[in-house]
Amino acid sequence: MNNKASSLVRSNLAYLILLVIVLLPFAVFAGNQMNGASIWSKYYAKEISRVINLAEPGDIISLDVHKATKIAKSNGITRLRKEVFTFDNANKEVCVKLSPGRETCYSYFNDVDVINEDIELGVSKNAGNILVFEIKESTR
Amino acid sequence: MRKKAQGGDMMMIITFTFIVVVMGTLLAIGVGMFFGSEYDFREVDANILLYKIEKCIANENIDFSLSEKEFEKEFFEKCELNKNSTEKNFLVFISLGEDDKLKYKTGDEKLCALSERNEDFPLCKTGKIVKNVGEEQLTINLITGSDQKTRKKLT
Repeated sequence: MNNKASSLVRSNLAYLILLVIVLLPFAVFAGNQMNGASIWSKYYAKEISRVINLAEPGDIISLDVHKATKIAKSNGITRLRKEVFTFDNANKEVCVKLSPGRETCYSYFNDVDVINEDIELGVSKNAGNILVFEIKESTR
Repeated sequence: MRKKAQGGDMMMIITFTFIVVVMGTLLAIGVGMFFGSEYDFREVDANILLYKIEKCIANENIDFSLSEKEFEKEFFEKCELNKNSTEKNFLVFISLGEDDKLKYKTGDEKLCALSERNEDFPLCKTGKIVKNVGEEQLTINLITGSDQKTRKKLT
């Protein structure tokens, strides 16, 4: 009886190993999608570009980015203040990185530069993490 | 006899792998389509661009008698819009009556009509400004649109 059972497991072991090997990458992919990194990075990139488009030189902008930093941290991004939000003043685009190896970028048309960007971590119990940046006239 | 039978049994692994790969791929495509769809921002972009241009034309002294090229230069300087970014991602169409003054993104407003059926086409907003310049009354027609999508970059 025992012999029969062990031979059954042995004959199906190859299938089981193959199943795990093939399905593991798909499960990781689905897991990444489901923690929202893809959709939240698009959301933040677009909403920040909206704010920049409506801003004027001299404005100092503070945005609650607690959700984004939480997702980035859970995906293994450690340098939250430097990596999550980046502004490319030459190409007029904002980039959001919530998972390692890829970032989502979106352009704005307002001819301004974004400077002194920083994330203030744990500002208060209610607000969480705040992205702060300044708007200044574009240096052409 | 047993060994021969086992050999035949192992041939099934090819079929099994094929089925698992097909199922996994379909699953990944389904999840990707559901979570990876674009968050439509074309209308917001088009509205803000229209607002900025309307405000600029109303408040700034832009000379509409200039040639197209000179007008373009003055328009971008006075309206504080980035030329490269606007040219690449947005649709701007400014006309003075029948006279086209500025056309960006092929400036073809016909593309806008397709925006509801296809997200690849620009979603547009239209505006009209009546401005008194001296004794003359100018009617300026505006169309703005956006078909911008987020770009993924590897880091």
